[in-house]
Amino acid sequence: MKAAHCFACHGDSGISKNSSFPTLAGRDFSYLEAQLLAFKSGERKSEIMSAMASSLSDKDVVDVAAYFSSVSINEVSPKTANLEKQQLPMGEVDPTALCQAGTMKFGQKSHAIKRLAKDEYKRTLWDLLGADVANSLPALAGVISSIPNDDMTGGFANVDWSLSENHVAGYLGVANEIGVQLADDFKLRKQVLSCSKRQNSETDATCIEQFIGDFATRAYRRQLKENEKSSLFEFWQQADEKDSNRAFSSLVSRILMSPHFLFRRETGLNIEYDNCAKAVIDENFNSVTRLSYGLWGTMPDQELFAAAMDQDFLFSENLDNQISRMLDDPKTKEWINRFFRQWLHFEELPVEGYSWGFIEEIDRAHLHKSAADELDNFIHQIVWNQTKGFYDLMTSRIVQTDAPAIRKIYGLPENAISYSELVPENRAGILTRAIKLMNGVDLASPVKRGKFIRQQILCEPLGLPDTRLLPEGALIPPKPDYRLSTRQSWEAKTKPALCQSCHHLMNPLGFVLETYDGLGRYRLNEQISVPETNPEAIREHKIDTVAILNINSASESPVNNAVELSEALGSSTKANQCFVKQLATYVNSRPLITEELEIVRNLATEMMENDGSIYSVLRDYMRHVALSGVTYQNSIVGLQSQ
Amino acid sequence: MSSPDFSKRRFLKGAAGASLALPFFPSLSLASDLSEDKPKRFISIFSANGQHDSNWYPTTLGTFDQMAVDVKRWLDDPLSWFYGNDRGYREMALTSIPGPISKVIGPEFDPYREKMLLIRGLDAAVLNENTHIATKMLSGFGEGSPLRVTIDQVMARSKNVYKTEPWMRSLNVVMNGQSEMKYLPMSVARRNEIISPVVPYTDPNVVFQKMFPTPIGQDAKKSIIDSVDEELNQLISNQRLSYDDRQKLNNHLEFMRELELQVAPKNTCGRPELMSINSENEEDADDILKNYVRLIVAAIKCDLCRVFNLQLAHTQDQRSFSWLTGVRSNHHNLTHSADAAEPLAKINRWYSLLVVELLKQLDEIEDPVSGNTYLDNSLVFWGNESGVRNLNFGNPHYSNDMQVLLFGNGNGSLKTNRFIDYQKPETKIIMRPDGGVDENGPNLGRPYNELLISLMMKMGVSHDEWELNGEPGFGDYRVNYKNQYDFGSRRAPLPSI
Repeated sequence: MKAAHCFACHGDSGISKNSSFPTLAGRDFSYLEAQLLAFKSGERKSEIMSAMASSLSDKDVVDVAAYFSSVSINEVSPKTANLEKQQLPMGEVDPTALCQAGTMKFGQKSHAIKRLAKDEYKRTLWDLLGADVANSLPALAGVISSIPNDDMTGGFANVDWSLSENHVAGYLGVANEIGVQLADDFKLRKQVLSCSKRQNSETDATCIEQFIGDFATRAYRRQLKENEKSSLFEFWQQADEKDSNRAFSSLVSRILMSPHFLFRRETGLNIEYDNCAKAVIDENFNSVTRLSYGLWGTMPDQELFAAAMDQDFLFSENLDNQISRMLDDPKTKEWINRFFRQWLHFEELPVEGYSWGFIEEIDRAHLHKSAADELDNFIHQIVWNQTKGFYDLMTSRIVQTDAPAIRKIYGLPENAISYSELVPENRAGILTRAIKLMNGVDLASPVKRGKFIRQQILCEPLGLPDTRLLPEGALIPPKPDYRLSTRQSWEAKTKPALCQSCHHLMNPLGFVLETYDGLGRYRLNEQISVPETNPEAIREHKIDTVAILNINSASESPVNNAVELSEALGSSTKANQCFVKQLATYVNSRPLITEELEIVRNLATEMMENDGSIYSVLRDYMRHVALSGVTYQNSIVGLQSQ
Repeated sequence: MSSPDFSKRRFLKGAAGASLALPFFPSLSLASDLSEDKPKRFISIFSANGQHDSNWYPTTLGTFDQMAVDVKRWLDDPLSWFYGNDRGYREMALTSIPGPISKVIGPEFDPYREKMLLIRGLDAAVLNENTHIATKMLSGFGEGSPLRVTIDQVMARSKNVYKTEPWMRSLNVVMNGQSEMKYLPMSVARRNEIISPVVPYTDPNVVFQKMFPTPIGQDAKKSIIDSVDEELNQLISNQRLSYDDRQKLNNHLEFMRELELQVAPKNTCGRPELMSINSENEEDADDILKNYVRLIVAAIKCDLCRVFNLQLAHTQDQRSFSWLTGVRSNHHNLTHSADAAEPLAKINRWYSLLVVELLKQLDEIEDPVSGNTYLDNSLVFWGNESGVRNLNFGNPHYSNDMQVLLFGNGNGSLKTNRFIDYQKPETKIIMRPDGGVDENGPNLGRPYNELLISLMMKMGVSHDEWELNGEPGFGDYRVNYKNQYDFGSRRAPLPSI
């Protein structure tokens, strides 16, 4: 079927997933036929489409047009089908049973609960038990490591909401380990049990009741209902009858295995409250929980819990005060730093495989780590400076690193002379920082660099090629040819129209960065040799970085170098929105819903037009996060579609 | 084209005449000795990135004067043993191959040749975006999304594999390593209508603790699970949960109940000694995998579990193998480099020694009456996410000619000591809708799905246990340009194994 050739760009069945390519499904037959014939004859110009159409016979043109015009736009892809499923009403909730207080309505969301991500789980445990207790349990970290790592399919580890037997086995292992250690260690028990100063506190029912009220409230991140408290108390009583020495430890393990601890609520699951005040307080607990996991990756602290007890919290100054306090907390800097590492793909460092001849005098020790630390420092200075925005992230030259290898790569003097150092003028912002340029091997990969920018900076997913439609050998990188520069080799390799359908979105972005080698060193020329087959043949090529980026739908002027690329991206509405969208996804620990995407667009516009800072975007967005449980009404939106 | 005169029997006779051993057909020779009650086990072993054909298949069968005449004929005249496309295949006894079978399947496999079945020419004709999809080996699909159920999990939930509730339905383990795609699962199960990955264990020490838990705390665990069970049920009944979240909590509940069974293993026999390792330490790779082997063998001997999935690496593995001399790039990169046959042979040979370790430990007498070993009563399948081909022309990620090496005979259900080639001579696989072929690729073979169906049937799984949606077949049938493959009823197993 000839039409299948079109799927690579225009999506399966001609339903496009990429705004750069129009949807063909459901278009008028005459229109499609006319366009194909126009491309075929050259009447309408497009490098890709002309090449594609020229291979079609007149009959093919009719067939292809007939096919796409026959596809109903309602023949949705599985992802869209999923979206529709999620839009169905959930359960048998009677809307009148929802609490209403003035204009407040408690909305429903498709992700009412979510498993704590592995890192969130660990941080929560440490806060719940207290760092002193957690750190004194020698095997605890090892048992936690048995819980599966979260995957990055959603872009960030904390978005993962898969659940397997191994998760549950891991949780049980952790709960058991803590229980066993507490049972064996009186001092530890005293540290966990809040009323331990009393005599025989562990067997004192009043003390245990008090413990449940405190510890389980923090673990569940909400106030417990009476029946929940009594259920836990009964558990302790039964354990006490069997073995009074271990009853308290078992109770702790029991709470740690509760689904109310392992899963966090997005918003009100408790609809049975008989009065609005209780429901408001309940939503406050959800709200501070969303805030704390968004900014800290862990449970709320005592101050947030105390704030949640105030009925007016969400509509008082205290909400802003709490968000400001949280933003100043080192925990926020650490958690948001993880966002940048995952967004910019440098949480996992490349495998080092540079040849000695290439790396020369650069110190190999901790090379990638030092480079990652440098980018951490850069981001830290941009974000927490509180005045700098996305444009600065993309263009600023400030630098702070003591690592000799990184200083050498940047061409900085051996020792830092001040805290306000700048990298040379040939660099600008995150894309030109060493860790983003380091490839792990000698040869830089312009395609990989371009793909990264297209997907992560512009939020345009490219997918993977269908190997059955590719020419023979298409996936083999071009062999070094001393007659060609790296750019020329890749241009020749990806020249076929089918390749260009995606590569025209990647190559130009990567070619502009060709002035940096596989280690991130600036260069004006590159030497290409083929030492294995022709050691004599070495040729120096001047780097050509001029390219049209294809980042806007309107016609674009070419950019000349990486600095101009960074400036273009920094000023791009698409890139600004992409950045805010990713940040918002991370602090929500899930894909965004429609209302949130609207907020993202507004915040990005605000940042661009009024010189707003990343800090203020984060602060303002967290306000939306806090209020999201009461301002969105019945939002059940396809999360996967975004 | 077909040569009925050159029957398989005649070939074997000729081979035997040249001092080559007869293939071992336990289904014939041992049928009367086998007990239906003997448990069968299925062990899938996964290695990544495909195989170089010159490393994997027998190519050094010896010089002319060293080999049997019929073997020479087999090499020289590819048509001589070919019977036609519907049942066509050619075969030879593995014991007839002089010297090591291949660079990867080295001399260490010699003691097990009679218990091995090497298959060439099974094509996973999958619709796919990219074929570094580990589940393909056992699902017959090449897409990472949506996930499809894998045969090991069909077996793990089969009433014919487990007549009573086992201690554990399947044990899935992986050696952690470098891979950009390590989040892609190998094994996929259907639970409560949710298709979800089975997340493998990444640390042998954790598996050990699970199999042989410290006695302390067992009672406490049970009472905790009982108590949480009730709480979970209440949460599940909350009507404001979305359908998906409720199903996930249902799964959580099931996992808890299974764990409840597991807190008290039925048997504590065969507690293995593990080597001290750090599962995140690359230099411990050899000991990590050996520990997994010991745990799997222990679980078999104790009959704690009958379905195993041993992932030697993640899909698209990028391990650097710093301990192997001459390996200068990571595994995945090497498969995209021309002239990397030697380092790839070293990598896969290193993996192969771990496979031998498993065979060695399983090849102990289980049933004194029949003389069958644990290996005899098992089906071991060493596969890959990618096909076997000449990687000097690059690795195009095709899934034709999938790696298939089977060991054991599943309690007499598999005919071993054979190298079967299902490829149709002089017929290239049509790779594109316009009839384009892969000139450097293998010849047309049979659908890989048939093997998956065979393995399930040999484990006693019935069609209705995998055809849950009523549609016949297993795996992907969507790509079949010019109707090259005869999918038949889609329910048929691979002929002649």
